[in-house]
Amino acid sequence: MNTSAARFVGALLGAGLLAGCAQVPHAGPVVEATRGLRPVEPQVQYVNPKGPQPGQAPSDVVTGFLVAMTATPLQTTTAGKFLSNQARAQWQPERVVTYSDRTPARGIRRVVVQLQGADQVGVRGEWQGQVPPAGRRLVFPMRRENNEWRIARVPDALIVPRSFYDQQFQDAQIYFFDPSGRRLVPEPVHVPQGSQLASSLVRALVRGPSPAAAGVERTFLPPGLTPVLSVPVGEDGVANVTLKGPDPGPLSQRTTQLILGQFAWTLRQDPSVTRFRLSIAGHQVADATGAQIFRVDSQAYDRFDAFSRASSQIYALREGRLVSGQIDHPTPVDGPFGNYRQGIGPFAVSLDGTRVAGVTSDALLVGPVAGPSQATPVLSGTGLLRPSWDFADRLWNVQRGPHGAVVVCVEHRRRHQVRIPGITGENVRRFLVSRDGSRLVALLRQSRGDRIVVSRLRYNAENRPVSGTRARLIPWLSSGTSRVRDIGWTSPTTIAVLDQFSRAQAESRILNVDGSTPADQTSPTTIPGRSIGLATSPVDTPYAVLPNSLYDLSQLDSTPLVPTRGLRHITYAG
Amino acid sequence: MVGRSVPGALRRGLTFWRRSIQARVVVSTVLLSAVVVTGVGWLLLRQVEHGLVDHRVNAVLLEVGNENEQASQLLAAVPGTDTDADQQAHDLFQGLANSGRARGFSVVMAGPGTGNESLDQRGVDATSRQAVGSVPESLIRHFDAVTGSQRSPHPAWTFTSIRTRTVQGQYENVPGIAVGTQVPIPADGSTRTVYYLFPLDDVQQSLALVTRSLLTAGVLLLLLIAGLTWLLTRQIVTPIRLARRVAERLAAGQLQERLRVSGEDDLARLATSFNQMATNLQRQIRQLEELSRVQRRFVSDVSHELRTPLTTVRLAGSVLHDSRGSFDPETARAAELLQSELDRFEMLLVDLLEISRFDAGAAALDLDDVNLTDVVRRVVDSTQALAEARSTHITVHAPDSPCVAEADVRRVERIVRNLVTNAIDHAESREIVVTVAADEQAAAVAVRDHGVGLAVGESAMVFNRFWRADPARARTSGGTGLGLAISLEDTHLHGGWLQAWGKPHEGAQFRLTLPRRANRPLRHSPLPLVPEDATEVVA
Repeated sequence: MNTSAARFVGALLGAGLLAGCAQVPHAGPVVEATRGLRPVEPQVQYVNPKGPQPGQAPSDVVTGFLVAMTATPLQTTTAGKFLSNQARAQWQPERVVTYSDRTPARGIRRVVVQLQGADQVGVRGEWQGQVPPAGRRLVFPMRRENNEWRIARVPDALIVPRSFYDQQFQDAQIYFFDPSGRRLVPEPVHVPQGSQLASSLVRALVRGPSPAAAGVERTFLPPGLTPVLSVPVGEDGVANVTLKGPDPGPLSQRTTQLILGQFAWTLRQDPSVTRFRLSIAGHQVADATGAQIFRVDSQAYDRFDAFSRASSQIYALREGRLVSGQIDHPTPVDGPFGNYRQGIGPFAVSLDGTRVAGVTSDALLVGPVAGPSQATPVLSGTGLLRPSWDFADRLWNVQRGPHGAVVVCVEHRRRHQVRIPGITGENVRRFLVSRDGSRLVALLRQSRGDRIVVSRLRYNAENRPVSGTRARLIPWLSSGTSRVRDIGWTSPTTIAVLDQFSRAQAESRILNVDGSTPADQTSPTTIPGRSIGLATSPVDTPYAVLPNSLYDLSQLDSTPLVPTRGLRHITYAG
Repeated sequence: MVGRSVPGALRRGLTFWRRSIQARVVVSTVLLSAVVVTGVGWLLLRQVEHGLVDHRVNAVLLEVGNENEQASQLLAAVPGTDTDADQQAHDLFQGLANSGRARGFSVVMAGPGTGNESLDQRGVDATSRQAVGSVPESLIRHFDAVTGSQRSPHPAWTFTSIRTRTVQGQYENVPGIAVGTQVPIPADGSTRTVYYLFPLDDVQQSLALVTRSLLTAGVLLLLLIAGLTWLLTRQIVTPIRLARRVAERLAAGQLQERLRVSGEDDLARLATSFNQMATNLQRQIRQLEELSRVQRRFVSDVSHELRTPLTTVRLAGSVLHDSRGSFDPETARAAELLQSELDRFEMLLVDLLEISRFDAGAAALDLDDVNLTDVVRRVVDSTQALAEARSTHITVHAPDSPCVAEADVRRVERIVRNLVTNAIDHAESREIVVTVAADEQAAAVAVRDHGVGLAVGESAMVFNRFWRADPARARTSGGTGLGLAISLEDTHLHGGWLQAWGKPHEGAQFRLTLPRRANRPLRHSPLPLVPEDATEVVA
C-alpha cells in the first residue's frame, strides 16, 4: 500500500472517529439568557413605603409600620421589617382593622396609638362591625435589635385607614349551599382587589362557613383542604385553583357539580376570570363530560341560583282583585284571587308565580294564582304582616300579638314556629326572607327609632326551619325621622330602606345585610312626594311606590314615574 | 500450514492488485468515496446534532419561560397578608415539581448562599436526591456571583449530566440542560434559586438513530459506488483485455489475429487502429520473411551449386598437391596453399549448408541418452593435438556419475568441439577448463579459458554469424566464423541454453545447458555462467 492509500485510510479512520464522537454535550459554559427567557418578575409595587431607617425613634418605627401596611398592591414585606425577629415570625395579619383616624404614635418602650372609627374584617373576610373599645387602643411593646428599635408584638391584623381599605378592598360574595344542597347561599366577604382577588375569594371559600352558620349553610368541598400559594389567572382568563390536603377520594358527579357551582359563582365576580381549573389533592377535577376547564358563567350552574325560576312580573291588587303582568299593563289573573274579591290586603306570590298568599283581617289565605282551586286559610288570627316565600315554597310570616311578634313558617300546610332571638317578641313592623331561605331581615319599631336587624335561619336535618341566629343590627343612619316606611331586597345581600323623612320627600338607601356600608351606596336616593312603600326584588328593577305611580330607584339621573292608578300593594314575586 | 498459506494468499492478492486495473480503480474509488461519504456524513451529523440540541435548548428555554410566567402569575396573585415565606416557597416548588412531573423535567429549589455552601446546606426542595447532585457547580456559582454583585438576575443555563434511575433500578447519567432562575418570595422579599433539569435522552436517541441511518446509508452508498465502478471499469477494461490477448497472439506469431470492432466510440477507434497496425506489421513481417527466405535459398543454392565445381577443383588440387614433389619449391608451395584453402572452402561450404538446413527448418534431432562426460572427453582427446600446438592444456572437471541427457550426440559433440576449439583459439596458451555437471532437471558443460576475454556486450554477439571480436586478428584454428552460430542453433534445437560470459583479460566461459529430457522447459543450469574465479560478483 502506498503513501496516498495510507493517507486515505487514515483520513477515513479519523472521520469515523469524529463521527463516533458526535453526541449530546454533558457539560458546557454557563450562558445567561438575557433575551427570550423572562425571569420570574417580582410583583410591581405602585405604592412602596420606606422600610425602617437607621436610628429611628420607637414612635417613628410604629408610624412607619402603620404606613408600610398601605403598600399597594397589598403586601406586608416592608411592614414586617419594622418587627422584631420573633414578632415577624409570629405575625399573621389575616384580619383587617380599618380606622377613620388615629392619634400620633407616642411612647418609647410602649408606643400607643388610639384608633377612631375602627371596624374590623375577620379571617374569612366577613364584616365584624366596630372594633370593641378595648381593641381601638393599640399598644406596641418595643425592643432593641441590632441597636435599632423594633416592635416586639403586634395584633394579627392589617391595620389600615378606611380610605385605603375602600380603595384596595371590595365587597364580594362567596357561595355556599343551603342545608338541602339545592340553592346557593351568598356570603358577603371583603377582599383585596386586583390580582389578589381570585386568591382571596378562593381562600375564603375553602375556609368554609363559620361555625356560627351551622344549619344555615354548608359547603360541599371536602374538609381539610387549603389553597396552594395563590390562584393565578392567565391571560386567557383561566384561573388555576389548586387545593392541597388529604385526598378525599373519588367525588360523585353530584358533589363535583355542587363544588364546581360554588367555585363558578364565586370566581365569576373577578372580571379577569372567564374559566377555571380545579385540582384537589393532586387530582384534576373533571365534570360528567370529562371537561377539566369550566366556564364561570356556564348555565349548568344557574340551577343552583335561588332566583333562576323566579317570576319577573309585577303583581298588585286592583279593586281587591289580583292582577299581574307588565307594570304599564297588568291584567287580572284567572284564579281565586283574580276572579273574586277575597278581602286580602298585603300579599306575596311564590317565586315561580303559581301560588299567592294574602293577608285578610283575620287569616292568611293561600291559593293558586291561576286555576279553579279555592283559596284556603293556612294561618288565622290578626296582626299578620305581609308574607314572604322562599325557593322551597316555604311561606313565612310574622304574626304580631300582645307578646310581640312570632315568626311562623308554613310548609306543606304544616305550621312551624321559628324562634329568633332579637326578633321573636319584638315589635316587628315589616320583615323579609331571602329567596334562598337563609336570612330573615326584620324592621323593629322601637321608641328610639326603627331598627333593622338580620338573622340567619337554621334548618334541621329534614330541612325544616328550627330557629334563627341572634338578630344582628344592620347599622342605619337616617337623615330624618328614623321611621322606616318599608324595606325590600335589591340584591341577594343588600336591602333598600325607605323612609319618609318629610312630607315632601322620602329617601331610599341601600344597606348590606352583613352590616357593612356599601362603598358606592352611601348616598341615599331622594324620592319626591309621599312614598307608600317599596316594590323590589333581588334581580328586578326596584321601585318606590307612590300613591298613583312608581318611582324607578335604579335611575340616578332622572325621575321617571310610572303611572299606577288604581293599583295597590304592588310587589314582585317572593 | 496457515503460515505458509497466508503469504501465498497475500502474494496472490498483491499479484492480482498489480495486474488488475479494474481492482485498483474499484478499490481507489471506494476508498475516495468512503472518505467523501464519511466527511459529508460527519458534517451532516454535526449539523443534525447542533440542530437537535439548539432546538431542544430553545424548547427548554421556552418551557422555562412559561414556567417563569406561571410562577410570576402565581406570585402576583399571592394575598399580601401571607407572611410564611417558607410555605410560599414550598408551595411554589410543589407547583413547579408537579409541572415537571407532567412534562418530564426535575426541579431543585435552593435558598440563597454566600458561595461556599452546598445546595443541601442552603435548604433545598427537590424532586429527587439525584436532581440535587445533577445541578452543575458552575451554575450554582453563577447565581452566587449574580446575587453578590446585585446584578439583574437573568436566568442562565448550561449543559449538565443528569443522574437518573432507570426502570431496572440502576442509576445512569444522561446528558441534560440545567436552567437556573431566581424567584422572589413575596412574604419576606427573599430570593430562591430554582434549577430546572431537562434530560436530553430523547435528543441522544434521535442522534443515535440518525447516526445509524447515516452509517447504513453510507455503507449502502459505498456498495452502490463499488458496484457501479466495477460495471463501468468492466466496460473499459474488457476491450483492453481483448486487445492484450490479441496483442499476445500477434506477438506469438498469429499475425492473422484481429480485434472485433463494434460501435464508433474511442475503444472502437482504438481497435481499428490496432487492427491497421497489425495488418501493417503482418505485411512487413511477411515481406521480411520472404526476403529472408530468398536469401537463405540463395545461400543454399549457391552452396549446392559450388559443391560440384569445388569437387572438380579439389580433385585437380589433389593431383597438384600429390605431384608437388616434382614441382619447383614455389609451385609446390602454391599447390599446398591451394589444398589448404580448398579444405577451408569445403568446410565453409559444409557449414553454410548446415546453416541453410537450420534456416530451412530441415534440421532434425536424432535423440539418444548421451553422457556429456564421455562426449567432453572424446572432444578433448580429439583436440589435444591442437591444444598442444597452441601450448595450452585442457583440464576436464566431471563428476564420477554420468551426466546423461536426452540429446543428439552428433550435434552435442559438434557444440562441445566448437566451444573447445574456440577456447583453444583464444586461450593464449593458458589453461582451459571444461566442467561437466548435471542435476535432476538439466545437464551442462562449461568451457572456461583465460585468454583475451570478451568486452562488454560482446557476450551477446559472439553467436552472430561471421562475428569476430577483432577483425584484424587471424583465424588460426581454421574456423569458418559459423561455428558458434551453428552451436547456438543446435542448442536451440534441443531446447537448451548456450550462453557466454567474458571479461577483457580475464578470459571467457561458454556454458551449454540441456534439459535432461527433450522438450522439457529449462528453469536453471547446474553450472554458473560466471566462473567462480572471476572478479565480477553477480548478485
